[in-house]
Amino acid sequence: MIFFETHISWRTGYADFGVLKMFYQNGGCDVVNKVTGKLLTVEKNKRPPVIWLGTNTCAGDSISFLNSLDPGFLAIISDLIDFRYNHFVMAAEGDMSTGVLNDAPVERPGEYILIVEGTVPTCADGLYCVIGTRGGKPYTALEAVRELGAAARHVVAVGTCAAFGGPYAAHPNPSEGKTVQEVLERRVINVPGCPVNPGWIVGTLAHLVWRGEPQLDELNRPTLFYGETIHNLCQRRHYFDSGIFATRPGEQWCMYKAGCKGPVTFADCPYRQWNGEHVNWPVKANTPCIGCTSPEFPDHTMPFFVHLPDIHLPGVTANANRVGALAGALTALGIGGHLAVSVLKSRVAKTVKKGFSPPRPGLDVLETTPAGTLASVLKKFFHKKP
Amino acid sequence: MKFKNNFLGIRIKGLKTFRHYRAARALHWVLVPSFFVLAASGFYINKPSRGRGFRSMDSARRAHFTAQYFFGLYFLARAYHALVTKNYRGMFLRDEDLTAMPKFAAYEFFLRNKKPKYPKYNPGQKLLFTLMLVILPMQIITGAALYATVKLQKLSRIFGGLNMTRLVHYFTAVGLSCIVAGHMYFALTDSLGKLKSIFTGYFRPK
Amino acid sequence: MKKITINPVTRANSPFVVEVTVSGGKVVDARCGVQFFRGFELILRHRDPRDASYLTERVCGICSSAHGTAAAFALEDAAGVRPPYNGNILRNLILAADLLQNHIRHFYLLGLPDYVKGPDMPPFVPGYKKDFRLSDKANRDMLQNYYIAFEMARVAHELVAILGAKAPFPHSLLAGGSTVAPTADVVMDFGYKLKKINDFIQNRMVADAHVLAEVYADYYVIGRRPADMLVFGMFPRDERDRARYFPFGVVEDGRVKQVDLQAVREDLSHAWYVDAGDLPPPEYEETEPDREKEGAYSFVKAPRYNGRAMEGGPLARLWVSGDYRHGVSTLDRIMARVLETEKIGRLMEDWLQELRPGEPVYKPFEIPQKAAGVGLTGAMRGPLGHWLRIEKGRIARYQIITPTAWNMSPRDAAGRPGPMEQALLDTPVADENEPIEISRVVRAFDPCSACATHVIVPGKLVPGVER
Repeated sequence: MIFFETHISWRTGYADFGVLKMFYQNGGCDVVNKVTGKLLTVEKNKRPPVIWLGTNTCAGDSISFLNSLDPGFLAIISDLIDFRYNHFVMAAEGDMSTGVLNDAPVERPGEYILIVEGTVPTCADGLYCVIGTRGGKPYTALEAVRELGAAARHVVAVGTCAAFGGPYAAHPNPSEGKTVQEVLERRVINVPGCPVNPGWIVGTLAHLVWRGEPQLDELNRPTLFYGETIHNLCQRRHYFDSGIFATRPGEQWCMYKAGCKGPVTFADCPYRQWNGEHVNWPVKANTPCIGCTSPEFPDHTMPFFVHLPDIHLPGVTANANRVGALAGALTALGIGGHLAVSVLKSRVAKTVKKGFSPPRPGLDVLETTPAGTLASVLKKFFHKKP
Repeated sequence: MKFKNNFLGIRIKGLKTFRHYRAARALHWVLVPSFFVLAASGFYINKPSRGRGFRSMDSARRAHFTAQYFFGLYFLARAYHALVTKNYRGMFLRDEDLTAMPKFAAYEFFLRNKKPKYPKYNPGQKLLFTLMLVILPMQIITGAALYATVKLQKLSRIFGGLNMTRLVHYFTAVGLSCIVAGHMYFALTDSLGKLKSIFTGYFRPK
Repeated sequence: MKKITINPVTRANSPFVVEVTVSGGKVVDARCGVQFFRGFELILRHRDPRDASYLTERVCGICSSAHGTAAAFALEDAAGVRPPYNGNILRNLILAADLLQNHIRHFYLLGLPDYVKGPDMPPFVPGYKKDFRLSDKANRDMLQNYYIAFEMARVAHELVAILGAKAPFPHSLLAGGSTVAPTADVVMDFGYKLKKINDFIQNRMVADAHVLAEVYADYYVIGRRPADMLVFGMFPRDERDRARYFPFGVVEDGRVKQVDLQAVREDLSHAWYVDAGDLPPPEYEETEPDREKEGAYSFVKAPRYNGRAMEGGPLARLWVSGDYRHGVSTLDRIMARVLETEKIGRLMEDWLQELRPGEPVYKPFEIPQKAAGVGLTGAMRGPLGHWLRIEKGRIARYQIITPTAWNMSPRDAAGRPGPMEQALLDTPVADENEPIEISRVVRAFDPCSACATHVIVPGKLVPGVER
């Protein structure tokens, strides 16, 4: 018989998980099922196997996943999913770990969920990211994503790199990194973010396990989390509307002029906040949003502290507003110069004089017309004669 | 049929000559204020600061979002009018205009003193109208994508995302403003008679 | 003679490869390689220098604060600006909180499965079955702490979020200071969460480390290497950065000396990059990756200090500061990490008291048109350096040398192995099918290959040292 005995130690302030002793002895999910009832948990043999494949990645999304509060990591792996493979937490290593990858499509095809974190390099046939060996040969991330993706029930691209390329495929993309969708024929659910908010990925997993595929937008992002711009959800929106702007990081106003990408970024950061405990988010911390969930991140959401992207020309990189100002200045210069010469050549005076003088009889031959063409032909003809 | 005073390219001086339809004139004067409001509020939205004509982002956005309808209305109505009256003919660049361009440019760059004469529009104006054919729809599409960020997300994808849409919108606005400045300069200095015609519809060639 | 390859080595921030040759039950040859390449510095060219803080954080998911800090230091150096009093402390607190997170996660999540027998469910299965020596009770207690550690590391990341907006990749590590005002509520929230973590560290983590040290005492011998270590100072004591809480220093054969950056050179001979020949290319030249290169086995280059392979990390830092000089071995690395965690946790409590509410946290500054700057800091795994060169107000060149590039460096042209390879030599391997001894040795370095794969100029002085 197992029972749950959590008590909060007032001295230390953290939960003293007595239950974990039981967890160790009896296998986790029974314990938690008893605790939370059948409401939230998925029966042990029905929890879908999950393979979390790290390709070209910084593991930031795995770490963010561990930052989930409710459910915490332990509850996720015992209630919701059968967490088979993740290089960051799994005990096995070497061929023993990659063996899990080989077994999954054979043992339970069409049942497991594949989560890919990171870009998939295609340079040198994928050799720029090798995740293990198979048959004595390098097992590339490209092969793994293609093979595992083909037999998975759902494929989830977690983090901006896997979903849209992100920092690891940013210009000039030296590893020729591709997104998961680009190397797979099937639909990939994109859960971007740099890193992904724990709520976004755990929420997506919960939806997949309980109710199947969530509603997706045209970029295959769950509209649940990416349905509105940060700007429209922002607590500081009224500062924006009232025209009260911070000019630098650290000021408590609207960060628009400090380069905030909230108006062009789809995510619910202002509502959800970070991390598991939802204590803060970039604008609340008096810094601009940098648009990390956008497909353009980071190439076209940089510079982070200026609101329009830079213009890159060979040899020159310039800020868009400066280019605009330059265009304006050139126009002013052109008009001013033309006016000055017109005045000097008394064309302006002529225009005015002509405007007020009475018309004189006569004929005009107009250019770009049959008559005009004829006139110029005749003119040429007579000019040549002598 | 209005008297256009153009016989295969021969024009009689001193006669009252038709130039602009009433509807075209009316629409032109719808465009003028809406452009100025859009430009002023747009550049404020791009870089809000006091002394740029708006008290707050809210008022600038409201002005922008009101004027945008007149701007869009202008574009649609003008396109309809041009099609119905067929006055799109002679508005856009054609081969003969390109051949005539060097002569026109020579005059405008003060390399020629004799002013060449053209039917309704000179090659420079036609260039401007042709550019408008690109610029106006571009502003309307990018503007719509920025206005309804969620509903029209697809539109912004054409330009590579919302931030790039913003960039395109900004540069098109800069281009449009430069063209308008040039247009105003030439309208005021080229010929007073033609300047009058955008109000009255008629001018007398002199 | 038998060759054992572990590919991938998991429970590291990014997986890597270890190849050892075993003869007579002992490792006689070892190679550590990283099999993925990114080239982060290329991305930074022509960018706004302020962007480097946020972008370089993306190099590594677990030590992002260290990169943010180094980038901020580099730009401050270039722009000649100092953060305000509070800004310095706040940045120290963010980096320190991320360090607690890293050390707790490393000791428990990443390290412990090598020493503790887990329950019969993922992530513990599949896994090795042999050489788990803890008694049932000790094993159970430690496993309980393993689960609590998930919670504590998460709370440590909440600390980062309180002051830094989010974690990983906090937003408040900027040149010029930090951005969240240390008001009473913020300090209180931070303080109480910190107290929870410190309590865990002092009462459980340190105790667990001592239990491990007792039961696995042979690891004070296994994983030994010469005491050659390099430390870049960590946590400036004040905004003028005259001294740091963890001082700079280099250890050669156990003796602590001053750091001389001129002694740092990099070697390409066993890395998958095109050899640049005898003549060093221009300073702005980039190295080309070449996955087919003969004899190469890693995307990591080999930095050397006076020709020596240097180790970085908590052990090196405590050695230089004099807090821990027991030895250089697998268990010493683990013990030093735990002791450092405890020390930093205590320091943070002091720093919280030193904050001055109401005073500025950020100092605005102008970006120079032409300048160069160096940002050096201690990071989770050792010495981290960012070198920045600005031209026309944009980044002309950015260079990063990460801790793991030192720790996991491959052989150099003279055939000298990297620190991790040195440590692996003479490691006994009882069962060639379950080489758990090897995992223990390499994992004690807290390797993070995500950081290590970079584009660096070969055979040249690290630029930015000379102005």
